[in-house]
Amino acid sequence: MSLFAALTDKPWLSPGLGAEARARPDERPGPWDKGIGLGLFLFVVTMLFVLLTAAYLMRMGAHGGAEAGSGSHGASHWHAVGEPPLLWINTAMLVASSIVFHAALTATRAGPSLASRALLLVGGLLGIAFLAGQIALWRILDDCTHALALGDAACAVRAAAPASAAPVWAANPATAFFYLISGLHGLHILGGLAAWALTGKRVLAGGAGIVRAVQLCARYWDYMLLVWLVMMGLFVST
Amino acid sequence: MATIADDLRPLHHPKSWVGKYVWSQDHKIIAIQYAVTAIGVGIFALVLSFIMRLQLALPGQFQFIQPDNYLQFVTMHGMIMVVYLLTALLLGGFGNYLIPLMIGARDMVFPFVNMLSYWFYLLSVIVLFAGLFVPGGPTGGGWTLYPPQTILEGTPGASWGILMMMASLAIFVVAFTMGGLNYVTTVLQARTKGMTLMRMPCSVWGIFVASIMGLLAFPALFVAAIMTVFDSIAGTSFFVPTIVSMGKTLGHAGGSPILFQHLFWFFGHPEVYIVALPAFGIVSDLISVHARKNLFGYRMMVWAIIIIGALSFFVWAHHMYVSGMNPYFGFFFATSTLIIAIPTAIKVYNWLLTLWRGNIHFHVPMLFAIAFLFTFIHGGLSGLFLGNVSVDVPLSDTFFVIGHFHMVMGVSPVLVIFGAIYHWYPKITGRMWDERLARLHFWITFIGAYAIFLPMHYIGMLGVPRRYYALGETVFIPQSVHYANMGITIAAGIVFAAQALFFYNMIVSLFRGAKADPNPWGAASLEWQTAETPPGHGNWGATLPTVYRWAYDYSVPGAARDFIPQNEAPGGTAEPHPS
Repeated sequence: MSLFAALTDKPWLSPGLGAEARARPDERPGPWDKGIGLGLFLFVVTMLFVLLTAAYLMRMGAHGGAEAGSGSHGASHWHAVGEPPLLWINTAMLVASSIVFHAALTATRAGPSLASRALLLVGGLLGIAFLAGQIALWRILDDCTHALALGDAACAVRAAAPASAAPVWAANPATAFFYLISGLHGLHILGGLAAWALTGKRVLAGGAGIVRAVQLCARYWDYMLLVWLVMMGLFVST
Repeated sequence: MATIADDLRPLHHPKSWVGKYVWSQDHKIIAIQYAVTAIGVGIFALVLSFIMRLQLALPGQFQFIQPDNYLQFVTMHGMIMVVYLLTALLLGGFGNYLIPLMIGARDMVFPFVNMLSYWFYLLSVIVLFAGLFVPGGPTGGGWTLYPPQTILEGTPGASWGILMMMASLAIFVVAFTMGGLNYVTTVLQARTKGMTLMRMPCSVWGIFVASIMGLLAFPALFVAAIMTVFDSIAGTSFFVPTIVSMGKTLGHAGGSPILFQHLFWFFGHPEVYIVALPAFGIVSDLISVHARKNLFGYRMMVWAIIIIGALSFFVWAHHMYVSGMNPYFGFFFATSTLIIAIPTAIKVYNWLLTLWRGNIHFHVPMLFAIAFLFTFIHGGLSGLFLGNVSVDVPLSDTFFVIGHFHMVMGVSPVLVIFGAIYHWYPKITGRMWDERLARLHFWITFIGAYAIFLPMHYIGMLGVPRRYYALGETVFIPQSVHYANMGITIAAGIVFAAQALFFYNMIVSLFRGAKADPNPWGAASLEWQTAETPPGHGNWGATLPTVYRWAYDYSVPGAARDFIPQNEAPGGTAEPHPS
């Protein structure tokens, strides 16, 4: 039954059981599928990052427009993060992780094998590598000795406001947003790694539902990749 | 026939007392844990409100109420009531208890996550209360927590208090997300055979839509909380602009305070409806059951819940007319605010039309439901004033606003909560409460609520500002305001004391109350049809109920009784479920 039909039903007119209900067993055997739960969670995640994007754009646009050519946004003290090479390397790692998870899913569908387990392991390890890369990137962005590589943007605000006690990354709102957004994204990856570990345990134990578990793991990973690509698009395009 | 005996995996069967009542995964126990915790913190917030009233009636008479304390009381009272009491009780308490029973499920879909949700909620409460003991005390920035004020020196709790508050809120959001995912997924996935979406009682609809809204809105609070913490600890400038304080330039530069307000109210306004929609749903059920009449316009009621839920995401900036945002926004948000009155009015008319020519039984839950109609209409109408920019500007930050929102989202949902507790108490505990005490509690609370909040509208129109420690010698404030403040405080004291009747009644009835009938109100919805009262673990014994009809078959012409349970087949009688 379509949602529209369901919501326009006149329940007082038709006591009894519809054909759909009659065909149903009295009780569905558990456990419940986690697909809908995951979908809803991703919906919450989407909301979180949409709001962060809105905040990013509003903060960037605060106090007047950009000063031509400088990449600086007037009184908002905004200096774009730029495109450190590590950003691209990390992203490539997350893409690879997602691809490997899909390979693991395909292999698991074919039946439990050493290859499927190995692929699942590699997928998670690539996720860990992504996180390690992100941490390295944070260190770079907080270090003015790398200012040259970053087009001098990260340290410009800090240098202009020597009275500030804030660390380098905090003085520039663009960098601060980068820390905030990539940090929250990293926490989601960390949560994904916990789910990955649990899935790995299940896969090693064998039994029913393994394919679905790997599938949901891969789905989560795809989504985190999508979120990251959109966020990265935001960082490099503004 | 598949029965629970065939597959026990979805249910966690506790073996010990601790497993059953502490680390419980049973939705009913979790509901009670949520409710008791929420009511506990609610009592604390109620005490704070009375302390504030003492100060307003007798300014400067009490040593323990200094200006800083007063602001801290204001802040803690507001935040606790809105988030830690109302949201937690309506969704964590009633949502947990009612959803599985009303849709014919054995438990929530993810019982472990449900349990975690409660423990995270408790953690958020502990962190909140820990904020009372940090250096500088809790934050006194007002429940809206606007930066830069909240994190600047001079505001109570600007260093530690605000961090504890934000940490607590962030943990609450995590707890709510775990609970909310469960409520929504359970409604989507675990409805019993025959329970179509449009056969669900309005209580479930209200809680369901409010949970979806919470999942959408709470991330905004989460983001705002984290960004404030960054500004406070790390020295970022998300919200804090360049500030020169006492001749000294602070380290922040270029932040946008309005950005915080947008984020906060993107959560804050839907939050009003996250509290209101479950109350709307529950009151619909109370009115229908106790008027022995089907709910007038059930489909419209459901659609109105959905439409209000959706529209509530487009009205947030009506809280920000005086914030300095672009004035053209005011036009848009005033319009959307007035549009939301349409589905809300549909609901009010339908409640009244449900009562119209009904066989009304003035049981205590019904008294509270009818009282809700009064206070909600009252608070809704004063909302029309504040929704208009030109009227709002002079009334902004006055006691008119306090009177308005206490009526519409303080008193109204609380009356529904009382009605709901009286209504479902016999099912939850298996005992009946004392009728005389309950009636006394109702009348004092209802009349008292008016005695407290109605005068606030008048003193607000005179321009008396909110959140002021003392009014002092102020030209535009006549002596009558001080008399009114005294009167309000006396009424508040009486209402405050009268709540003891409720708690005494609930606790004593638990042990000495008469044994309750399994369905004392003759209600048609599924939760009253359980084999055991209170319902046992797994709710339904060996087989799940099958649903043949909607939840509002009352006074059906030709029927043997004046209600037909949802699990009664057409032409047949409902068979009690074998336990």
